[in-house]
Amino acid sequence: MKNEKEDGLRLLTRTEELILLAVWRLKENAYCVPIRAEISEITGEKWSLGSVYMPLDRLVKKGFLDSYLSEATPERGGRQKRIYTLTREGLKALEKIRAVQSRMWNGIPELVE
Amino acid sequence: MQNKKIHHKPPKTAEWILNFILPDREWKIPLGDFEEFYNEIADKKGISLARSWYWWQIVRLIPTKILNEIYWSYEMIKSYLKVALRVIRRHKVFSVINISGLAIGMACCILIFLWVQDELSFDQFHQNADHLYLVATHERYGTTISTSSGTPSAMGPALKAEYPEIVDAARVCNGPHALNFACGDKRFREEVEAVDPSFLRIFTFPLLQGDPSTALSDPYSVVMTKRMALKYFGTDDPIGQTIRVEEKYDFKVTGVLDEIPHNSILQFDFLVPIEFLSEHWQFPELLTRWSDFSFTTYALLQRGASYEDVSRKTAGRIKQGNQNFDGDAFLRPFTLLYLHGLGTGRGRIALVRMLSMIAVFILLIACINFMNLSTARAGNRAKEIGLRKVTGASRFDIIKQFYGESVLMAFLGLFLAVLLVIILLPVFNMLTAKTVAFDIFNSPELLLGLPGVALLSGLVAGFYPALLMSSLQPARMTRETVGAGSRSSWFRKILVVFQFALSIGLIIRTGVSYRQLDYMHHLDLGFNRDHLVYVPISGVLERQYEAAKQELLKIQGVSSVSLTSRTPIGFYSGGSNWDWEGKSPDVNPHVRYFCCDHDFTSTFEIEMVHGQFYSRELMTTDSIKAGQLVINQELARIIGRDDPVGTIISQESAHFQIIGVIKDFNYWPLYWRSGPLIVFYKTYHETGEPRYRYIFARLQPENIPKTIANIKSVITEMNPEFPFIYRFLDEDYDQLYRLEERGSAIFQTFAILAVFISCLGLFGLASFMAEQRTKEIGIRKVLGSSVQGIVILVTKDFLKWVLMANLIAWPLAWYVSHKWLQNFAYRINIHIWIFLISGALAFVIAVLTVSFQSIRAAVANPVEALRYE
Repeated sequence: MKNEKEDGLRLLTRTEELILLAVWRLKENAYCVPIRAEISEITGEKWSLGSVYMPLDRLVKKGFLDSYLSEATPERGGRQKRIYTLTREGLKALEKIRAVQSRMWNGIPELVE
Repeated sequence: MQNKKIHHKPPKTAEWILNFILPDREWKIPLGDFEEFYNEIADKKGISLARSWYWWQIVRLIPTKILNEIYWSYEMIKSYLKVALRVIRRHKVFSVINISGLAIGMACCILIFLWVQDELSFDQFHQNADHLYLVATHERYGTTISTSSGTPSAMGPALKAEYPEIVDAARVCNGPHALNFACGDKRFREEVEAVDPSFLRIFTFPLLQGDPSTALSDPYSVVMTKRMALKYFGTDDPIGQTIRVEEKYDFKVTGVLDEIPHNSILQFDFLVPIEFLSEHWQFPELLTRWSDFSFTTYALLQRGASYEDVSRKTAGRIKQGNQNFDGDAFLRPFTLLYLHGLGTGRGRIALVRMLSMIAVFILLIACINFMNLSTARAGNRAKEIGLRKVTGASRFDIIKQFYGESVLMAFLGLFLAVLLVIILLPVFNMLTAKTVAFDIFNSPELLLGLPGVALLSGLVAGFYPALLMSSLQPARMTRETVGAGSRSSWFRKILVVFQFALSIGLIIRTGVSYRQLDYMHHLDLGFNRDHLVYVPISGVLERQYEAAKQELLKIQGVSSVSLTSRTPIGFYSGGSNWDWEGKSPDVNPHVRYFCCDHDFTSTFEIEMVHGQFYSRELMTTDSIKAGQLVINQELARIIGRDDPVGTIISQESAHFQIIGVIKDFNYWPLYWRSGPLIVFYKTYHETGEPRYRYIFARLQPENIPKTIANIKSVITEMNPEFPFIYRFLDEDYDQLYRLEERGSAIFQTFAILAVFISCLGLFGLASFMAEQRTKEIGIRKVLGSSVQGIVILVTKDFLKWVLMANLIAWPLAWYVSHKWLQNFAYRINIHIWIFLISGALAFVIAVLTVSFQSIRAAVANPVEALRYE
């Protein structure tokens, strides 16, 4: 379906894509703080908490992510965490991006010597 | 995170602020995230960096937070406003009643505020206003103390010379002094004030031309207002020009005053030096005597000096100069005089307070209308509120919404009120004889006060509806039956009762002052004041009054003529220390003096009680030389003889035989009891009582204009240099109680408005009730109830409240009226029928208001009523 393919590609920004992947990798521990740490580590750049909240929110709204409240932990001053999980749409979108990207990169050697 | 590290807590205040900023429960989760991240930074880079990071996050959040707030409150206000406007539009009767009630209430408030502001501004314009004082006296007569502003002429110079705290003093010789001015062919009789030269220095009356410190140093100098300068000289700069006074003196104009501000108790057109009077009267000791209390003395105190201290020091000064005087002198702040008088309880302040209270009452009545109608209609709004609550509105949101609605109404009301004030101001000025202006943009009080009043009345009016509406439970509210709950209807009843109690109270108070004024107008003064005309004696007449009298008697239409020293509006001079046989030592009445000729009793139609009055045949000389006196009944009572004719009374070495007693007549405004009086024949200089000053003529009621014209031609022929002046005595009486009449008129107006606003509310409430009971009435009619039965059913409730309001209003109104009547020595008794009539009036108005609605409900076709199910 033409439409769906376009949706997946157009509606996901690079940041969102990174966050979706981070959520997937972190599994049960996918809440704001580790997500930020993960992305910072992988990209080697500083990410503020705010720059993670906004895309997370947006992804929930788009239906790629779902969230639930976990139990409270002492290192958070006794506050609950909001844990994010990928929805089926989220997984599909990731699949799609991966397929498109691997097709695009296929046969292209290292660009920089 | 797994290995146990020290846990860092972010700064408490920062956390608290963050907690406050984050919008709702859902958003509290980031607080945890923040804390974790904070810990991470603290571990890696140190606690101080973590701390500054945390604070930085907060600072970054604030603009967003503010924008968010504004955006959402704007959205909510838009919704509230939309709903409010829809409510206003849909329930037109309700809105018109509320807004117009509030508008009338606020217009009353604004008008009264303008009036009060003007009253309070009196005499404040003098630069030295804070340390200007009037010298007044408490004088003891036996057991009574009389307070007056009269001081001896020697007091002013003594104060200035002997007390270092008193910087300056100025005397004014109590008038009225009328002088005849002539300049070219312009001749007028003018009232002048005779003052010390220091008068212009201690008071700040703006002098357009001339030097205030020297303007009145020459005895033949005159300072006049610009208006008078134009009248006599046609220019506002007549400095150095001369004006002829009393055909004898040439006065030099040494100063021109700007118009005297209307809010000054001292009003005059001409100032002449006080020295002139002593020369004019050929009375050199006039200004140095301690015995004659006919001067008003003003004192300017040093900055910072306490007037109470100075008062204590000066208290005995008059007694020092005059052994016969038993009393104290004291200082009275000048700026208090207008509103508080001499501190004896009389003064305009009572009216100021009363009107301010009425302003608050009327606004309160309007606010009550709003409360009543809003709560009565709570049922209509219940679904809306239920829905709002269900979708997450907090109680505070609902309170906000209802407050918003009432404030919106109040502001609409304010807008109308301002229009009303602009339209009604001329009428109001006429009513109060003031010239207040409504200039919003030049008055910071108004600019801030008007929105303030609207906000306040909005908050007062919205208070109960907001609380009631927000307290309702959504589950109960969405059901159809919820409407006027028993609690709110109970509250409404109290408010209606309160409202009507206020209105009835105002009606009663109006009735009492109307009756009192009517009583004063028609009170038998002891003489017949109708058709009495008087001409002041001046110029040639001062020597030829006897001839003038004979000439006037020849005129057809003049039935009787008498010469007197005073008009009977106020007898100012008098004395004490009279003695008679068998006088008890603690009796020492202050006796007023009055001089007249033998035709006084016949002209004024005063009866004799004992003995006889002076007569031309008996009296060959004046009563002092003859040693004979006529007294009034009151003095006879004090002397204590049934028939005191023949009794000898004496003052110091002078002895007099009483030859007659006249019936008491009133010679004071009716605030005071007219006390003992001695009537002298012809003249009595030693008492300070002047020679004849007035010619009184009793006219026959037919063809008065012609008689006046004849009098004029006689007087001008004899006295061609002077303008002809005449007045009717009853006109003077009409002017006497002007303050009370104004007060009464203002009262009446506002009482009517209060009743009107109350009725508006009652009308709205009745129409709502009738609407609510549509079905009940329908069923009753179907079951055979008559129209009268239903009208009575619906009306009965309201009338019960009005009756209750009467019970509350009566004692209060009685108390207030009683206190007011204490101002008058001659007063009416407060009859029960004033209360009955006022109550009945309120009752009838309420019946008319309610029955319109109840009859409409009663005659409606029951089919219509029952069909809408």
